Amino acid sequence: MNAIALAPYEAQAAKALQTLAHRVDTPAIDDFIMQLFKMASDLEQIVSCEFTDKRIRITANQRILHELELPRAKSILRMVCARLAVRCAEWTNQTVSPFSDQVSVEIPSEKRPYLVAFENTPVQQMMVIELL
Amino acid sequence: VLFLHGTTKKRAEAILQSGPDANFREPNGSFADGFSLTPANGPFDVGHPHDYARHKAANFPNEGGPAVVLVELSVELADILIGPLGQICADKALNIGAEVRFEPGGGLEELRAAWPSLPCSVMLLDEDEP
Repeated sequence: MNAIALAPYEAQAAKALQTLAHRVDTPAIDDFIMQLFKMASDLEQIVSCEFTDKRIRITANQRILHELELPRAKSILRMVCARLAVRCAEWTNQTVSPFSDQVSVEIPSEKRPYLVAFENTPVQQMMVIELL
Repeated sequence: VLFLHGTTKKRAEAILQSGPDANFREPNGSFADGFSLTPANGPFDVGHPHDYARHKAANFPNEGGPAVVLVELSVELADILIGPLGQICADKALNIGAEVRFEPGGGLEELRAAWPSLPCSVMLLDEDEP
């Protein structure tokens, strides 16, 4: 996929990150997570989000869509990963580790299957979402 | 306000004695970076402290099993240390409602300074209780 085709998704990624820049609470985090799922669905690519050097970065198939430097970026993404683990446990009705896991989920509102993987440890905060 | 922190028995006892330590090193050498507390009454939107304790105990089986640190902050102290809900405040702990994250420069030093005077205890958990 070329840069022009990615442009709308770069804007979408920027919008998603701005969600966290404005407010960090459960509704904002849920909104951010669902925007990542939407990007993975629309792009049909592997969308990932990770903490890197004071920034939160969103990529699609390892190409950077957008990154944003935020105060407390690592803690914010830590909380996003933790929330994702809780949501995955709710969606799958199975135990999901808050630290690191990989699960297949079907979001009730979308009825589309995704593979979700995440790492949430002192070393790394990252999540990967892929439409199956 | 009562807060909980899920961890292992070994770490809980160290926290009880010396307060949260951002320089705590995981067995792999990484630093803790900060310290998280969950309001005891919830919400548990980013996970329940008991679940964190059990998963951490499973990851570190030589640390005595799951445990929860219980610590009580007065409303006045909480107002000083913890930022407004949902807002990133430079020198205060990040507060998303379901979790409060203390970091160096973000309320951790103040929490450590207050720690010796805070009502604090450790509750041991069964490894496999739901």
